Amino acid sequence: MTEQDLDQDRFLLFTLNKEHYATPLMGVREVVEIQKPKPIPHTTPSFLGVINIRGEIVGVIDLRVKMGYPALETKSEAMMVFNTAGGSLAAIADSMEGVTRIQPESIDRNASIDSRLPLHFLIGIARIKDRLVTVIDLQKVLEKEEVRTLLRSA
Amino acid sequence: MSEFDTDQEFLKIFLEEARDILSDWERNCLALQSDPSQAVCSALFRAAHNLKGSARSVGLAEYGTFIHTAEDVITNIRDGKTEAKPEIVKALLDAQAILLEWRDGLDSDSKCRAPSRTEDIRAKLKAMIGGSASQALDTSAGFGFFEDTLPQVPVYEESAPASFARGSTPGSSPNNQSKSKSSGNDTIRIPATRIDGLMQLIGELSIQQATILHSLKNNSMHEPICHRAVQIAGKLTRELQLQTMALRLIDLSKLFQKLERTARDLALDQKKAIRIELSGSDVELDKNVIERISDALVHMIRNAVDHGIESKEQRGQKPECATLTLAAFQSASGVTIEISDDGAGINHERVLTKAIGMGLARPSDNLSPSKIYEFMFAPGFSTASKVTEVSGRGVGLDVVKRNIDELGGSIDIQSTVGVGTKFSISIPLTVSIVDSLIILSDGFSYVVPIQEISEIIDLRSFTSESQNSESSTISLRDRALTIRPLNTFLTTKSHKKSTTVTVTGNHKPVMVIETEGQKVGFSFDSIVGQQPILIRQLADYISDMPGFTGNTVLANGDPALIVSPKEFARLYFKKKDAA
Repeated sequence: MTEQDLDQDRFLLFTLNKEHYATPLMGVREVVEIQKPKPIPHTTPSFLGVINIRGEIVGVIDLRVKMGYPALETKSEAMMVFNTAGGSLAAIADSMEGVTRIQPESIDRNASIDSRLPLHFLIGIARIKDRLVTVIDLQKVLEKEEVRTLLRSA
Repeated sequence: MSEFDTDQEFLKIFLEEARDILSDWERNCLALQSDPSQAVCSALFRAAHNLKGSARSVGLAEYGTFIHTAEDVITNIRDGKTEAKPEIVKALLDAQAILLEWRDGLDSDSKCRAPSRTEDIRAKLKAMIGGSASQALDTSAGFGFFEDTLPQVPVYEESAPASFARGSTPGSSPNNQSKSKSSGNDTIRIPATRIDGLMQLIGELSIQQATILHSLKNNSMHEPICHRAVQIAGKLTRELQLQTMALRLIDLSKLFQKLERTARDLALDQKKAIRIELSGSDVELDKNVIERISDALVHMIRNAVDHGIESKEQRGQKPECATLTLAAFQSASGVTIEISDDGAGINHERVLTKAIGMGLARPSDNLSPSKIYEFMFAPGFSTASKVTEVSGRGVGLDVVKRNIDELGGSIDIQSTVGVGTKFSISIPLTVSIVDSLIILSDGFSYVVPIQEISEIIDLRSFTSESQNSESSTISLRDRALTIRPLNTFLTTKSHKKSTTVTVTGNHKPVMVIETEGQKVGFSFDSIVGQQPILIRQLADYISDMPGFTGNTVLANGDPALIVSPKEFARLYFKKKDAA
């Protein structure tokens, strides 16, 4: 097994409305401390605004609002930052649980689940200890993110 | 790496190379007309030959075969068998346009087929060589070929008018070029010495950083050695910023080449004889700026050839061959590009009549010529009695002016009837750093480029003449000025706000914005300060929103949006007109 293959089965665990989720670790650029975003006009409710990460301006998505759960006043302490084709985006979940290995064969790829996340980026369901974890490629979800509400000029 | 990846890798390298070679091809073709010397022919031949070789080496056999046909024509010119007539040069330029279009196609899809016109052009090129070949067969076997190059001319002239008509379908080549610009033109060639300079600076900077870190660990932040390191780091950072920005500077030769070709194609089309003089193509400008002025300049050069330069019969005393001059030079504030012609000049009485007709001026106004020329930049203004294919492209001088305005530049027109016209465009050297005002609206800071603001007034010193729920009107130097709160354009979901113009606190600043001859005021909460701001592009997912041009990080580390009040003013007037 090469080093790359070893990385492939590492996942970042987070929670959203008491449900457990995992996203491939290799897709996450970094995890940073939460900052108060500066709102941007004419954007969707889930787009909280922009923050400054070491001089780079990064958009912030509230995953709760995006999935249709009510927004929480007390937010988690950290954000996951992803590089997408449209620019960097930070996603806020309820809490960050850590990194774990999930063997590819232990992910049930045919599970039928009822989730508010866009299902075509769903990888499957895995059982970690006693918990059921939804494995989803968040980077791909954010890749398709449309945050503008205003008609574009062009 | 799989074989497929390697192939893709080679194809990519080829496509990069092809763009450069095709640009050489174009340049040499343009040179060929004025200077059909051996050196130019050989350069053109080398371009075609190299491209053919490279194309075949990456498996693009069809691409290579097409070039081969063109190469045969070039060989004939080089060997003196064919003269470099305008029609032949035109065909070679058409071939270049096709190859470029094809290249761009391959860039997005490696299996891209030849563009549909390819066969026509190939047939034409074949006719040019085939003419001599078939002639050779006719005259009798074998060696007649070399002596009998003259009789080929009639054969080839038959096909020439066709090539003329098809090849110069209005705007075909400029359009292709503007398309290629948006697709894959995101690479810049940088001399290795510039990179070395950057490496050097970064090396020095990391040494200073180590010193600072060391002081921090040993609690000696206030020792002179640390102070010096901070100072040097500051200086290095500024230097890095300057040099990094200089990486984006490219010279104007490619742009001038495109303009020259546009002018030549159009002149040929309209049967006008022109001579094009270029100077200052080595002047450097930010790549962004070049891309943004490119379409405006193409429009102006077409204007000059179409409207400025008269037909041969109308030129009277002047030499039959008109002169079009494209010049660029560096000035204190930036770069100036001049387009001048020795054509008919602008009839300012006609402009004035039209302006009066459009309600832009009154007959009683006593206006200077330069004021009158300004009307030409009004939307929908055209004195052309007939709409030609050229002027019907949907880009008017108003768009040209707007493009230049957005870059913080200016246009100046000088014209004498019967002598000629000169357009001068001045552009600031870099658009990445602009002097800006930082303002507060609803508790959030926004950045406004100072050049967009005509003036700032304090609303408290005025009495409102009328007020309704969303705007208020005051009298500014005897003219009515409508004032809207700026925050109506900055709606964020997290804030409730008052949308009326009310005077609270000590000051109520209002920025007065002028666009297309109309003025409007935007009120906001307060002015935080003024500082030069480094503009960064907005991420894709929030770009393209009218009025929001970029973002930046303020001195306190907060991100802030850069807004364009001129764009808001335009939106406001558009809405008002619609209502």
